This record gives sequence, structure tokens and C-alpha cells, in this order.
Amino acid sequence: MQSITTWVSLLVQLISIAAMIWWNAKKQDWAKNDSEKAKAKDRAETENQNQSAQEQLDSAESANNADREEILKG
Amino acid sequence: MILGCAGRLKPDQSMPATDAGYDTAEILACGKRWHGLGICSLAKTADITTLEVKVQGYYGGTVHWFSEGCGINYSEEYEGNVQIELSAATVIAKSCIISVTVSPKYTPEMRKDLAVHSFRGHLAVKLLPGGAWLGETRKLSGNWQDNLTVPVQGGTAATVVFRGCKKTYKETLPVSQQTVPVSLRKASDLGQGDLCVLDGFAITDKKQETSANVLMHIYNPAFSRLSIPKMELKKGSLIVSGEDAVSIVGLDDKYMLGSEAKFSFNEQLPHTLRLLTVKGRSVLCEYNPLATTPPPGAKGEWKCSQ
Repeated sequence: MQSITTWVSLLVQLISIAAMIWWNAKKQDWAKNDSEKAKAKDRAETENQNQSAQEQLDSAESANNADREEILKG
Repeated sequence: MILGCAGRLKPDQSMPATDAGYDTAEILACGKRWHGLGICSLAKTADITTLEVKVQGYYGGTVHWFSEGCGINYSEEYEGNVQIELSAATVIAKSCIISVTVSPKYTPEMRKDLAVHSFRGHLAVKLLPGGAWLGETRKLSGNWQDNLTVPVQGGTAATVVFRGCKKTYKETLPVSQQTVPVSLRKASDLGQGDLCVLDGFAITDKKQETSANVLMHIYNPAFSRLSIPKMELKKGSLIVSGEDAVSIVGLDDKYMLGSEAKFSFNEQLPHTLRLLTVKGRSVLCEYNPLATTPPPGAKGEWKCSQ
């Protein structure tokens, strides 16, 4: 009877260790995926910010050049 | 003795810097080290204009360069804690913004179950025909108020024109002590997350002109900047203590894991100190030895930015 209890206890310990290893590996996988997702999102956001700022800069420079000439002439 | 030897990265409860619109990449351009936002001017006269730009990389990973205006869009891998240079083939054909995202990979042992975030930065490059120029950067948040002091030569009044940040600003302002103070709030109409380059000039009544540009980024007010670390110099060593969230402390090319570190330190030489978190928050400090004749005198000064 004692031997069965020992075996069951060992088995439970083994299962819990395996579950812990599996859980830790899973958490690392999720973290890696989250990092990759964040990287892709950052890249897309950066491109959007850059494009929008560039459009505004282009039109600002063009309008400012016209104003500059007018002020310097006047 | 090494204090920072935790062996793995530490969690940071803050929101990621990139999500908050807070730029923290370390950019080297036009002879300066910029933290997150940088600005340079280039003479328009040359047939082909190039610019040397580098970004600091940490622990190996990927750098992504992007510029709509200057036709840049590529990624490259890097190893270790190195400076990565923008391709020498990049031609600056017009004023543009160069954005860079540094994504450290770290090792699985360092990362464990932590998600890691990038460090992003933007460099505005202004092509100028010549003349006086003022270039500044601003990270702003919440109900911000800020002024730009434009230096001018001669005259009692100046016509000031600014565009580029969702607004056209035209005012005639009095010249005071050869400067014109411009309210950046009045010259722009920005909301949270907006990035823009304010482009303009001041022309005095004596027709003297100063061009000016301000690279501005409005970040989320819920974002907490990383605190300036405690620094202590003791018997030729620098002891650095950062926030608990700090994963990496680096002095020049020596990097340590943990929020505290001790480095050997020569007070007669310039140094660069970096503190980094997994959410892309960082502190960048530069040490400049003060010239003293004869020694001993004041040791030097630190300048830190968050």
C-alpha cells in the first residue's frame, strides 16, 4: 500500500514538474510573439508618423518660400 | 565588485515608450548625440548631399530605417552593443525626416518570459540655401506651453512665419535683445501622438533673415519618463543606481544587466552612460570633464536626458 502511495506521489510530482516546464516554455513563446507583434506595430506606426510629418513639411516649405520672397520684395 | 549581475532582464510596469509616442533611440548626427529627437541642417549648394547618421544598438537585434522624403526604407541586423550607420548611399535630395527603430533581440536566457519593446527616434534634416538657422527639438505632453527664442540681427520688429504643424502662423513681433520669442503653442495645433517639423523664418524690418525648424512630438501624458539615476564617484569608480525597472546599465562600451552597476571611471575623459528598460524607456547621460588649470579643480559635469 505504501509503495503505491509513493509511486502516486512521485507521478504527481513528475506531472507537476512537466507542467511547470511546459508552462514556462509557453510563457516564453508568448513573450517572444508579443515582442514580434510590438516590433511590427512600431514599424507600421513609425512609417505612418514619418509620412504624415513629411507631407506637412513639404507643403510648409513650399508655402513658406512663397511668403519669404514676398516679404523680402516688399 | 559587480553590483549588476542579475543575469536577466527586469519587468517594467510602464507603458511602452513607442506606444506613448515618446522617442528614446540614441542618434548620432551632425556632430551631436540626440536622445529620441534630433535635427540637422545641410547646405543646399552641393550636387549630391549626404549625411552621416548612426544609431546606438543594444544586445544585437534589428534596426529599421525609414524616410518617406529621402526614399529610405530598409532593415538590417546588428550584433552586440554597436553603432549602426545609415547607408552611405543615402542621398538627401530634400528636407526630410529620417525615422529609426531599434529592436534589441536579447538572448532567450535574458528575456525569459518578458516581452521586449523597441527604441524609436526621428531625425529632421533641413536643406538650407544658407544664412542663419536655428534647429531645436521638443518632446511635449499634456497642457504644454513652450517658446522658441529665434535670434535675429538688426531691426526693431520681425515678421515671423511658421507652418508644418497643422497651422499657419504669421505675426509681426517686436525684437528684444536681438531675439524674437515665438509661442510654439500658437504656431501649431497638435494633438496627442502628432509628430511634425515646424518650418519657418523671421525676417526683420532691416530684411535680415533667420530660418528656424523645430521637430516636435506630442506624447501620452500617462507615460512616465525613466528617472535620472543616482550617481556616485568613489575611488576611481562610478556607482550607478537606477529605478527598479532598469534592466541594463551601460557606461561607454561596457554594459551590465540590472538596475545598479559599478564601473571604473576616469574623470579626465568624456563618458556616456545609458540606462534601459524592456519597454524602450531610457536615460542618456553625457559626462564632460571640465578643463582646469592647474588641477585639481571641478571634476566635470553630467548632462542627462530622459
